[in-house]
Amino acid sequence: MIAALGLVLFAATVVVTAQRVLPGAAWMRRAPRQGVVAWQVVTVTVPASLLLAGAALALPTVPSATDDIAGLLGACEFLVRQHYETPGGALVHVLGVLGAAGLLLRLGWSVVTEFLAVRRDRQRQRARVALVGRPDAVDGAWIVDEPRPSVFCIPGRRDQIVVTTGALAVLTPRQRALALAHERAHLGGRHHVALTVAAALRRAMPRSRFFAIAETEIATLVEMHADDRATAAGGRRDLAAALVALAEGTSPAGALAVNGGAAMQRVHRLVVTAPGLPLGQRWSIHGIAAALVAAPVLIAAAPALETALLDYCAAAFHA
Amino acid sequence: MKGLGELEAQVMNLLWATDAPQSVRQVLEALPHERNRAYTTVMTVLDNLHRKGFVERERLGRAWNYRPTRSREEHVADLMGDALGASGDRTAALMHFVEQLPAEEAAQLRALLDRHPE
Repeated sequence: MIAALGLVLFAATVVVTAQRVLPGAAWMRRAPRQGVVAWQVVTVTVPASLLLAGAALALPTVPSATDDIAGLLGACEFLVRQHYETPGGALVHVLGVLGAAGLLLRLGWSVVTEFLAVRRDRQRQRARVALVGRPDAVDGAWIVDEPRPSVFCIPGRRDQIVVTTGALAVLTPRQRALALAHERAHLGGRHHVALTVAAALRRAMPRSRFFAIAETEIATLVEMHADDRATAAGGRRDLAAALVALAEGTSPAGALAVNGGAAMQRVHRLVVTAPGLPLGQRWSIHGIAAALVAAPVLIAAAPALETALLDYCAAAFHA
Repeated sequence: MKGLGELEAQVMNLLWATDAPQSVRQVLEALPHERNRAYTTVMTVLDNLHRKGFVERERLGRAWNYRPTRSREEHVADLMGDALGASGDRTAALMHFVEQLPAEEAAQLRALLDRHPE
């Protein structure tokens, strides 16, 4: 009971704290890759804690695997079970099992359907590009005749980078090369996987603001990471200029800003601030991330560990 | 067979350029003759396009006649709908460099850029 309560409390604390501390955090803007990892850690540790809470409630009802082992070990198992006992008895156990199973099914279903939907959309768009576009002999990008300027990529095993003729008209060769490098960074960094998982979690918990914020933040951070990768050898202002040129488009009246603030932040960090974090800060981020992953497992195992510390049980465990 | 995708695009352009539904024979004859292309190759290509939903076919006499399900412009419009981020509930199928912004936001971006010359 204590373990399950602890896990639920831990999950709630992570949600509340992350929502206050993480969105728009300055360090994430400077180190977007670490930022993506941080969001992934908090969004995975929350459902993992809830699953473990369900499992902890269910533990006392799991049929014993050690019926034949009499004596010391049997007694220890009894004690372990006792430590996971709940006042509500069987009903609480059943609810725990059902809750955990339901959550697991929901998450699994959401991830599977999201990946399938993305794959289907991609295949359709890839086939389309192959029909309406032509491959550029120089850099392998697909050129599509279209006055609205756009540069984008379609990930997958046979990935494509697409440039419209409208984009070619507004970008200098240098800007075009940087924009393509940005897209290649997306593909090389497998950013679409992070985005798909984030979208699946958000769809699995449609009423949770937490997962919606996480998805938006991850989407912004992978763009920043691709910006940094593309400009590893310089050209930050050129990339910013390319970004502005494409954002201006040709028919601004028809544009719909999905995340206009993100474009502003990207230009700002490209022309004003330098990316990168001091080593110490990077290590503390990794440390906190590791602790957040380990914490639910430790909380779930606490009653068992406690039992193991009893003298005669310790002997049995070491036997 | 590297050329098959290229041939699909070629056949599609041909169908987009003609109003009437075309038979395999007609497509074969309309294609450039620089290579000796087999009737069955064109049939395979049209079959692929049909399977992918890019063409529909109807039987006329003993032969199938093919025509595009959607115009080239419609396909481009659909692609750009995703690419420009206009569709609200998009998946991660496509990642764009930056979305087109409303005029005033784009102007703010331009101003920020101009404030920081090289």
